[in-house]
Amino acid sequence: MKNKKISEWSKLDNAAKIFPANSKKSDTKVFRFACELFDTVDPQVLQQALDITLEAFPLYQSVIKSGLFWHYFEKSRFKAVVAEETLPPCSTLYDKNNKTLLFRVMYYRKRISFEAYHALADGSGALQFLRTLIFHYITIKYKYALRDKSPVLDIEASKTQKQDDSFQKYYKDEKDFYRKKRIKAYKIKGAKIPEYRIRIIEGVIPVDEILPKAKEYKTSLTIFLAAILMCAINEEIPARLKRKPVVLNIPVNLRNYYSSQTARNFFGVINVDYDFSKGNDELTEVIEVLKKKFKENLTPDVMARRINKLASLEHNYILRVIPLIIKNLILKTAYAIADKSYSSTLSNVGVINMPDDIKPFIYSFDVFVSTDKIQACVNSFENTLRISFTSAFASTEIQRRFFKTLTDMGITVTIESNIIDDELEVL
Amino acid sequence: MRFCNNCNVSVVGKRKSCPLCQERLTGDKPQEEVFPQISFVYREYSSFFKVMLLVSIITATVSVAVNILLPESGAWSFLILGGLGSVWASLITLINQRKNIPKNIVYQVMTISVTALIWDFLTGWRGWSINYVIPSVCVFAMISMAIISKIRKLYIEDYILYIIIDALFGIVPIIFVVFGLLDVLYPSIICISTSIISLSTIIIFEDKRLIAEIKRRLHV
Repeated sequence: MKNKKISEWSKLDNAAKIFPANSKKSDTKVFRFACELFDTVDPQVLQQALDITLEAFPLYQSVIKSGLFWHYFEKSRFKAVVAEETLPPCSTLYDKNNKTLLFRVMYYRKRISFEAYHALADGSGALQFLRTLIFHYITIKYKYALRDKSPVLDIEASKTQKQDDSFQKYYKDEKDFYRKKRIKAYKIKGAKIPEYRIRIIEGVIPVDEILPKAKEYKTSLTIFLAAILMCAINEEIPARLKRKPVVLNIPVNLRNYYSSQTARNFFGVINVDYDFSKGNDELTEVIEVLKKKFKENLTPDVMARRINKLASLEHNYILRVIPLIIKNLILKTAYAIADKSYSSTLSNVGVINMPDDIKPFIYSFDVFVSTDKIQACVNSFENTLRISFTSAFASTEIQRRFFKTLTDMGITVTIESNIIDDELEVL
Repeated sequence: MRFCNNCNVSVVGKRKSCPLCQERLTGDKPQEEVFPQISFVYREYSSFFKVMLLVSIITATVSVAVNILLPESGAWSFLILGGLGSVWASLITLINQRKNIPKNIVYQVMTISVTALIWDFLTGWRGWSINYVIPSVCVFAMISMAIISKIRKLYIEDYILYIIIDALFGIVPIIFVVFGLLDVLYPSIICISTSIISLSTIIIFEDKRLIAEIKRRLHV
């Protein structure tokens, strides 16, 4: 009790600032990374692994508090405890009236799930945490099997590098009047699932079946999947609403453009659109257009411009001294405007790697994120590619069409999903 | 594993119908589910509030209606509307802040003080709000915060800000004393002295934490 140490604190990074103002029950801004093992999870070992992991990620030991002008992270004395999964996926982690840590670790049968609040980290930041956690879990649990080996995790970033605010670091004070025309995207509508639950439908696909298909269309996996998703959405649009283009929002990991190793947020987004009312709805056609749009958007120049644009707002003295209550309203409006510009999101986390000695214990990884619409996350581990749809809608037509396109190409798809309602047909 | 002939996919789990197209699955051997099944929670307290809300609305409507029919009895229905409004204002802050007790106490002090001032003003300013209500609410808040922080073993960071706000607010009655607005002095004097003492205690013993807290809360 007589701890005389003064709590450490730090600012939220540039991208994180938007989240506290825009987290709500319908979209908690929580994402999940899960790892499915071949054995049932041992909670005690998981707790040990978590304790070790937390030492390497000091920022995770914080809560978000609100100051007069900004939100900030404050080091907290809460202890992170692993728990059996009893909460709906991506349940609230940030509630301004109920302070908790900004992540949770849960287990269910063979799965270890790690959920994080987006202000704390982005996908690759959180993946660093999960990989470290799984690494420690397996090295402790299977000490005997691994006794002749000494696996090393390939994360070399120091504690400071992990806590780095890369937006600040790579920000250049350049006045830039570049403005892109806003496109109003087609918005998917439909009845929602009660209680803000999300439906998870995941397709597990062998990498060696889907990659050659993407190659056949002479494109990357992300573009291939984005095009299929856009076509699946298009087929759901009533004819009278076809005027608006389908726009996909694609998060981009900025660590690929800068030499950052931060475990916090460092991502940008690009929007790619396709106007089905003008263009042809053939997959090849959509892929060709997307290829061009990706190429235009994914250049270091465009990325730098995005960082500068966002960060310049934060460096504006007048904006800085606006009280948080008003700032929250501004951030809500900004988010609402940005939200109108895309129909859905596709996030490719990419290939997840683990040390060779650890790999045999892992079946696959899984990534998905909270949403009040429909959104897809993709990752691959060894020969398993997993496309995870989260959706707030009761209808599953878009997912069905998406996977149907893949199976029609002769690709094997295995579906995993959550049972959210008391569906009668369940045994 | 089960199979959907319509979608051409295998489905993991115990389901009997396809999660994509709702057709019946073929094949046996149900497997373990990947996700735990979590049923909907039907919130129980919401019906209590619905009843409360309806009772409030009925009371308000009936009293206004009766008041309109009996205009010679005076505008007493305004008192009832005001009373209901005050109770709900207080209740809503109480519920919104229920997880953070020190903050809740500060919010209650503010709500009660403001409602008391409005009531006193609208009912012909007899001065009871500044004579009794505001000082006693402040003192009560300070004492309860001190007790609750000990019982709930709160860390000083969790309530230092709120105790400071409350203590600063507790010094405000000095204005009433100086301008001679008070008929009864002792509640205000007790309140001002308690506030000065608690403020000084914190400034003397928790100076570093206090400065750190101010820096955090006010960073630009």
